[in-house]
Amino acid sequence: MNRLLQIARKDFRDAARDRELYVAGALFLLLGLAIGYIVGGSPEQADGASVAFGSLAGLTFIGTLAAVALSQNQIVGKRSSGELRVLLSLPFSRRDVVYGSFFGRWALLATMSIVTLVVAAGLAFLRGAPVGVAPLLGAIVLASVLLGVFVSLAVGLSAGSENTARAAAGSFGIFIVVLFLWGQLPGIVRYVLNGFSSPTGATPSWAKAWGHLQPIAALRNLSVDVFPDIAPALSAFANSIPESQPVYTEPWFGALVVLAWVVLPVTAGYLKLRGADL
Amino acid sequence: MAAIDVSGVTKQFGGVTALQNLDLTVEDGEVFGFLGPNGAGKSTTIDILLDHVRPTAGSARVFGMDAQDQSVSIRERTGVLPEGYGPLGQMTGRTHVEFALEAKGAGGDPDALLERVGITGAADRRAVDYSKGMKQRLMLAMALAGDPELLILDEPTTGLDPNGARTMRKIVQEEADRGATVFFSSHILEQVEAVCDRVGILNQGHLAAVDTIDGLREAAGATGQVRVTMDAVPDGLIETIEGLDGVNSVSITDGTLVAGCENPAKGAVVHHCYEAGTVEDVETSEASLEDLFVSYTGGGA
Repeated sequence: MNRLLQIARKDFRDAARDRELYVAGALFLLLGLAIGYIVGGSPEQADGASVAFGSLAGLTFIGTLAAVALSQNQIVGKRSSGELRVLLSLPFSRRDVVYGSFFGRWALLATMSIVTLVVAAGLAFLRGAPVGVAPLLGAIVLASVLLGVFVSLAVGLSAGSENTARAAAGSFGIFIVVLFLWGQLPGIVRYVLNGFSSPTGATPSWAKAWGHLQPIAALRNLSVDVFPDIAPALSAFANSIPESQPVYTEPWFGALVVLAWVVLPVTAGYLKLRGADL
Repeated sequence: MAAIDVSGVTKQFGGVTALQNLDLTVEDGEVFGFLGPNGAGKSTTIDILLDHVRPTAGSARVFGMDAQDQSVSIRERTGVLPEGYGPLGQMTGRTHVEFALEAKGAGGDPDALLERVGITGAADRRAVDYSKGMKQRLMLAMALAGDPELLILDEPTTGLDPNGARTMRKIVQEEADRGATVFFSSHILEQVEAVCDRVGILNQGHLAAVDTIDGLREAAGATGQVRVTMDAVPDGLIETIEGLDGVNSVSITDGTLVAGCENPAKGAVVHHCYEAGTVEDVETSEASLEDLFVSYTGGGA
């Protein structure tokens, strides 16, 4: 465990000298400034949750993109540079390296999302808008969990890939599928099953459930009762909850789905790397 | 107890056989030189000891522990200079050594280790900006961190200038004196000859020979040399000498007859030269390690 944390700390500190990080950091900072400026521009329309809502909505796209960009090269890049050989010549296990990198990057992304929220809150507050602490904390938690999903996906693909190009293509590909194409997939499957013609009749329940297996929807479903004023910020990239509130939109179901998205990708990548020759 | 015990290890990459049923034992406290031409399987053997690659068949044990199941425990007690290494992120030289010390759970002064390998002046520079030789020295410093019981050095002198190679030899000697076992691979024969207790010669995935250098010389026997300088080399002398027992090759360059032969045959060669003409000078030499190497690896190196 100590060695896993040593890798995580190294990974976090490595970032401080990484040019990529400055680009991403600037994005998070700009996002915070923009949200703070906009919310602060019309303080009479804002409530205590406005900054948190706006920041979380922004992070759902910019934060997840940065999470993928900053994570997709973490393992495979070390593999191709020879750094992995050095780490695995010291007394680190492959588990230490993969999960250490995962936690290190996750901590880094969570820190950056805190920067966004604090900057946005500070600027909005200075311009006279109300800022509630509880929604801010809620947004930090939700943003951190969401970024954890995408760090897991990208680190997992990075650990499971043998070359950097494949890891990059896979990570950004999955990012696009999850954010933009997830809702279309059942339609495509039904189109194919229907003999390559448009399906007719009501949407089957599996196709409706599918939309709520997407991590952003699952996180929203999980948290909408706890943070009713900020969780809907996630809905821009998620199917809405039907009136009937079927079981797959329940918070506990959402919790399981989110947990699976955080744990499974990085674990699959680890298992692939564990069996590989360097 | 043997520090390293490889038994029946075979490794295939796709259809290519890198190691074929390799058996190898390195005793506690010895300096073992692992020789072989490029592609012989030296790095693959080391990779299996470190669990960087897994054997197709057979097993490797280090300190009596299975190299695959107990790799971390093995590496806690081992210092490694791996092949194909790369610097850790953007860390400085000193941070590298500190990182290695922390991983080993060892105390120790990082600056002292950097001084030992001769890169004190570069301690605060980023290792990615180091020259190849400096990176190699840094990796050695990391390998030495925590005074390991076993040093595994893959081609440690590659990329070093003569000074660096001398430092490397000195350090290997110091570590051996401290009681550490040293296992290193090389294709540079003089390095091996100077510091090794025993040598293993690997060729095409097989262990062609294991012995002390003297033992190998004896076993290979044939590769001594006698050089006889004459005022003139008479006709027929070459044929006569070629016909002697224990003589493998005869050639003439600038009035000097050079016979490659076993040591006992040297007297007969010189005797025949005396009878045939005027001898001006006689030199004999033992087999060089290079001759041994070539004789065991079929000149393919």
